[in-house]
Amino acid sequence: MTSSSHKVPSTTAGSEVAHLAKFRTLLEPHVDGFSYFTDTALPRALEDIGRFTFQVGGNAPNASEATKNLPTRTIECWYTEPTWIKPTSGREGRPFLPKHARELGESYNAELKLTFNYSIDGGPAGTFQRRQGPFPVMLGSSLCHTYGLESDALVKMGEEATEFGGPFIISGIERCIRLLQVPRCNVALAIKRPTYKSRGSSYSEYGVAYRSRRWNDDCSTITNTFHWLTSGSMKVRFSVRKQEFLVPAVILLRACGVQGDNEIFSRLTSQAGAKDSWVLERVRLLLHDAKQHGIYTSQEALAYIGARFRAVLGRGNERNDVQCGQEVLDKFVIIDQRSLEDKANTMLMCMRKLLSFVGGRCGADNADSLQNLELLLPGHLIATFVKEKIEEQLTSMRKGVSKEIRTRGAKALSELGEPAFWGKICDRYGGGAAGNIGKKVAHFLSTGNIVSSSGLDLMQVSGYTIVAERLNFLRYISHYRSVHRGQFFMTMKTTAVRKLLPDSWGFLCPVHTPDGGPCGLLNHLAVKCETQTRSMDMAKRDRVLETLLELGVTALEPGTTMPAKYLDVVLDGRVIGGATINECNEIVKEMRRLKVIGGIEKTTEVALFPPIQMGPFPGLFVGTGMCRFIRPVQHRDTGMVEYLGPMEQPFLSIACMPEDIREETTHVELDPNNLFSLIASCTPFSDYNQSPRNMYQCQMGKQTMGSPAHSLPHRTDNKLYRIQNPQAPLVQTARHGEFKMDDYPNGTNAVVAVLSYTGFDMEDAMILNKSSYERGFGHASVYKTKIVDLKEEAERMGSKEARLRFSNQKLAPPRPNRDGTPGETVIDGSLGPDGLPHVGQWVEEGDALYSYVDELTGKEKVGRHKEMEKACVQNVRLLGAERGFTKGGKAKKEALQRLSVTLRIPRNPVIGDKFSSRHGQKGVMSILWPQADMPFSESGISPDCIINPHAFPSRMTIGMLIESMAGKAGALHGKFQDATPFSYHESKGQLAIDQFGEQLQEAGYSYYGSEPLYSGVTGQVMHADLYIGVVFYQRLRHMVSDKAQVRATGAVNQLTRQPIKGRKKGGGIRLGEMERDALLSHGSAYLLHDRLMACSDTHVAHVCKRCGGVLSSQTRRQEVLSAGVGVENMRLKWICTSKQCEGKPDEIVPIRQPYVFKYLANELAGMGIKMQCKVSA
Amino acid sequence: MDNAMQVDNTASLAATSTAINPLKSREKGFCEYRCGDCGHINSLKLQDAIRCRQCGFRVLYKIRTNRMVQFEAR
Repeated sequence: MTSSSHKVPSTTAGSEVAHLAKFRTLLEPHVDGFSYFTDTALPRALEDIGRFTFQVGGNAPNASEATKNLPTRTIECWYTEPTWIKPTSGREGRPFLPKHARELGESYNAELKLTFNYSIDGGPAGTFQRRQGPFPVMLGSSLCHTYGLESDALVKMGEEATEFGGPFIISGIERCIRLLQVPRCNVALAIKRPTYKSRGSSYSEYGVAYRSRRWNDDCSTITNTFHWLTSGSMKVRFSVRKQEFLVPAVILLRACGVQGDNEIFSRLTSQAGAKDSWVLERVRLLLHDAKQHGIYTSQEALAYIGARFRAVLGRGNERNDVQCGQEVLDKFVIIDQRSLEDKANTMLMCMRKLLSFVGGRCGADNADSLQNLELLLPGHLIATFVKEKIEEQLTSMRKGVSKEIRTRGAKALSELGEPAFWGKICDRYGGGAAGNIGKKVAHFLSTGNIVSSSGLDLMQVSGYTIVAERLNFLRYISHYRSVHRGQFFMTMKTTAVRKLLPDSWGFLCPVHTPDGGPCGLLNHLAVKCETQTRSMDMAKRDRVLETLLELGVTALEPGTTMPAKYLDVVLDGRVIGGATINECNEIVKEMRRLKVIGGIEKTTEVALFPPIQMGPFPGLFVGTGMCRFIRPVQHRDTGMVEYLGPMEQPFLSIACMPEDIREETTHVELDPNNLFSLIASCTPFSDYNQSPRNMYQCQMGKQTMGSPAHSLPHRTDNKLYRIQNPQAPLVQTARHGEFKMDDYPNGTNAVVAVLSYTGFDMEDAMILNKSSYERGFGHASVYKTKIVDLKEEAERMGSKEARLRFSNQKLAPPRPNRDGTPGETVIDGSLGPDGLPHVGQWVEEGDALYSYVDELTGKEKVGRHKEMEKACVQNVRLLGAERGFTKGGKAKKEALQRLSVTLRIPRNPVIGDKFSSRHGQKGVMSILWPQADMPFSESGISPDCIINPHAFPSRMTIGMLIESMAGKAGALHGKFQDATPFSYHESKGQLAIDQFGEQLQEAGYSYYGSEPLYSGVTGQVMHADLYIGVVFYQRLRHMVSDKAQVRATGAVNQLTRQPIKGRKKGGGIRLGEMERDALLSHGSAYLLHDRLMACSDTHVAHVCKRCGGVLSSQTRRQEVLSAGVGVENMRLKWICTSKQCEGKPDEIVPIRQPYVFKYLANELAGMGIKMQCKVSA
Repeated sequence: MDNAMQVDNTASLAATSTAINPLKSREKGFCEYRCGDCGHINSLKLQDAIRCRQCGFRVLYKIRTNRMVQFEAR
C-alpha cells in the first residue's frame, strides 16, 4: 500500500480538556461577551449614568402652590455596586442548575442587586440594596454553575461533556441571541445615499457616518452623521430618544473649543494643501454660512446648544445652559472621545473626509463590506439595554420624589432623610419591590423584541433571539456561529447586501449560507474567525500609542495643524498625529513585527489606506477596540502567527497555499480550510463538488436526524430527533476529527450502487434494501415532551385557586352498572392510581395520558394522546412548585399541579422519507426492495441502497464519487479515510482517485471502484461495470408521516363552507388557479366540477324564478306540503319574500351552486346591489 | 393492540406499586417516585407536595412500570 501522509482523522483528536477548550473558543463571542457584561460593562454603565441631581420644594421648577413656601432641597440619587448571586433554588440556597431549569420548565436566573444611594443637600449618603429581579443568565458564563468546569463535572451536572454554553433558558426552552453585523465603531464611513436628500431642503446625498462607542467601553453607541449641504454648510445628525437632531458642525466645533475662523479654516484645509482651491473655497463657504448664527466663542456655542436641548434632556434649573451643552457633547457627540480636544479632532477628520468625498478625491465606502462592519455581541446588547433601563428607573424615581413632595408637601419633605421613604419610592416608582430589570431582560429574550426609549442605536426592534434547536449537533452549534446582517435588509429589494465580497475571506464562510430568503444575509463565521469580546486594557492601548509615537508618528499637539501630504494616524477614532506615506509604510511594517513578537498586543489591527485617487480616505488606522473580527494567518517574515482584521486584510498579500507565494506576499494562510465554517468543513472532498451542492449539504446537515445530545434523560425539548444506529463516517475531514464530531454521529455508512435497476429510482428516488432496513438502517425515533399545567387549566376555567389535581379516583360515588354491580371508581384503567401514565406504556390515538379531578364540581377529566402515531411513555416528571409559605411561615402543602411527559414515537423509514448523502444529493425512499432481488457483486455484497446515475451529470458532485471509492477502500482496509479539502493535488504527486484506486486494487478490487454486478432476479451478470462503494448517508427530518395530508370531507369554514386549510386541522390542499388552468386545458371539466363544487361547498339554493333573488326565498313552517314522512322527505313550502313577488304565486326552484355564491349575494346586498339569477327551463 | 395493556384494574394497581411492599403502598394510596437529582425513592400520597424528602429537589420521576409491556415483534 502506498504510504500516505494523510492522517487518520478519527484518532487525531486531543484530550478531553483541549477539546472542550476548542468549543469554548468557538462560543467566545456569546459566553465571554455575557461575562463582560456582568463583570465590566455593568459597573461602568452605573458609573457612567452617575448621579441624578434635582431639586424639590420651593424653588423647584415644578413646584406647586402647596410647596411654594417650603425650603428647597437638592437631592442626589445613584446606583453603585452591582452584586450577583448565582442561580439558587428555594430558601435553602442550593445551587439551581441548568438541568433543573430545563426539567422544571423554568428560567435559569441569577439575582441582581444594586446599591441605591441618596444624599440630601450634599449630606452623607444613605444606602440600601435593591433587588433587580431574577435575571436570565447565559449558560457557561461566569455567573453560571457550569463556568469553567471540566467534562466529567459537567456530565455529573446532567450537561453534555462538551457543554460550552451560549443559550439562556427561558421557561425551560433554550434561546440564544443572534450575532448581528453592525457598522464598525469609531470609523468614519463616506456614504452616498439618496435618502439623505430628504432630510431637508439643500441637503445632498453625501454624508459621513460615524458610529461611536462610548470611551469607557460600557458598550453603548451613538451614530453621528455628518451631512453635506449644497449651501456649503455641514450638519451633524444624532438621535436623542428616537428624535433626530441636526446641529451645524461649526457650532459643535466651536463648542469643543475650536473657536476662531482661522483655526477652523487651517485645521480643515491643512492636509489638502494650499493648491486645492476647491476645498479652500468650500471651507470658506462653510465658515460664511456659520456666521448667520452669530456664535463665535466656545461658551456661546455651549449655551446655544444647551438652551435648545434642555427640554429633551429633561433637565430642570439645577444646571445652566453651558452645563446642558456640555452634557449634550458628552452624551451624544463623538462619545468615544472623552476630551473636547479629541472630540474636535475626530470631528475635523470626519469633515475633511466629507470634503474630500464630495470633491471626488476619495470614493464612497462600501457599508456592506466586512471592512466596515463589526459584530453586535449578545452580552453587549444586554449591557446597553440594561444601562438604559437603569437610567429609566432613576428618571422615574426622580419624578416620583417630586410628585410625593408636590402632593404631600411638608410631611414628605421631612421624611426625605429616612430610608423608609426611599424604599417606598423604589417600590412605587422604581419597578416594584422585586425590581423589574431582570423581568425586562427575560421578556426581551423570550420574544426577541427590544423595548427601548432611545432606540439604542439599533436598526431593528424585533427578531434578536431564536430558539437554539437541538435537532442535531451541527444545527445546535451553527446557531452560535451564525451572523445575521439585520432584519431591515431582509425586506430590501436590492441584492447588493447579499453579495459575497472578497473582503469577507476567512471571516465568513462562503459556502454556509441558506438559499432563499436569508441567502447572503445569514452567514456563518469561519472556524478560525474570532471576535474581540473585550477592548484592550488601558495599559496595552497606551503601549500601542507609545509605540506609534516612537516609530515616528508626529504627534498632534493641541491647536496645531499637520503639514500637507501628511496622512492622519488614527487610533480607535482618535487622531493622534500624522506621518508621510513612506513613514507610514515603515511604521506598519514594524508594527506587524511587534504584533507577532509580542511588543504590542497581537490583536491590534493596523490598516494603512494609501492615497489612491477615488480610493478610500487615506490614513493609518489602528484598531484596539472590541467586537472586531480577527483571524490567524502566518506572518511570512517571522514565520509566526499574526492576527488580521478585515480592515487591514484587503491591503495585504496573503498566499492561500505555499505555492501561491509571490515577491510581495507578506502572509500565508495557516490552512486553506480556515476559509470554511465548521459545518462546511465537515463535507468530505468538498473541493471536488460544484459549489451549490456544498451549500445544500450545509443546509441538509442541519436537518439530519442525528444525535442531538447525550444527556437525553434530562432533556425536555419540545421535539427531539434521535437516530438509533449511528456510525462514524468512514470518510471524514481533518476538522471532523479535530472537533470530535464522531461524538455526535449523524448517519450511517451505506453500500451504494449507482444504477438504474427497477424504475423505482427515477427522479432522485432511491431504493432501499429491505434487509438493510430490517437490520436497522435509518431507524430513528422522535421524543416529544409535553407539559400539563393544571393551575393554568384552572385559571382558564376562571378560578384562581388550585381546584384541579391529578388523580385516578372518581370523587363522586360511581353509578352502579345496569346489572346492579357497583360502578367503576377508577377514571381510566390504563393509568396509575396517581392519574399519570405508566412509564414504558404504549399509547395510541385516543388513549388516556393523564386524568384529573375537579374538587369544586366533583367531575373528572381525562387528557388523551391526540396524535395519530403510537407512542411510548418514556418519562413522567412530576414538577413541584417553588414552595410558597403560608402566613405562619409553614410550607404550603400543594398537590401535584404540573406534569411533564416525554413520549417516544418510533419513526423507522417508510416510503417517502428523505435521505441524503453529504454532497447535496437528496432523495426519497421509493421502495423497500427485497435483498434477494437486489443486485449483488462477485464478493456477494448487495447494496444497501441504489441511486440513479442521472443524479450525477448535471450536479457534478464528484466529491460523492470519490467518497464512494474512499469509503469502499476504507471498509476493505479497516481504516478511516482522510477527506480534507485541498489536501490532494496533482502538485503533491497524489490524486485522490489514484490513492484510493491503488488501495482498492490492493484489496483485489477494480481500480476505479466499479464492479460487475449480477441481477438479483435472474442471476445473470449485467452488461456494464457498475459503480458501487460506501457512502455516508444522512436521514433527514422531513418525513411523510409529518406531511401526509388527505381528506374527502371534513372541517369547513363557517362563512364560506369551503374546506379549511392546514394539515393539523384536517383541512384540504388548495386547488388554485394554475391547477384549474391545467385541468381545463385537458378538458377534464367533470373532474373540475367534482373538485371545486362537489368536494368543496356545494349547496342547494332556492332561487325565485320571477325576481331572480337568491336571498329572498324562505320556507313557511305552517304550510307543510307532506305529512307523516321523515325530515329528509318532507316537502316545505318555499315562498319569495321580495317586494315584487309579494302575493304572487311562488315560482321557486332549487339550484345547485357553490355556497360562497350565496355569501357573495349577501355581501352585494349589503352594498345595496341586488344580484339576479336568470333561471331558464 | 396488546391485551397486556388492558389488564383489569385491580391487577394494574398492584403492579404499579413497587416491589418493596406492594400491599402497604396500595392500601394507603402511596405512589413511589425517584428524585431527579439525588435518586432517592420517595413514596408520596396523592395530596403530598412534590419535593424530594432527602434533598428537596422539585422534579420527581415516575418509576418504570412493572407491568408487562408487550412489544410487537414485527
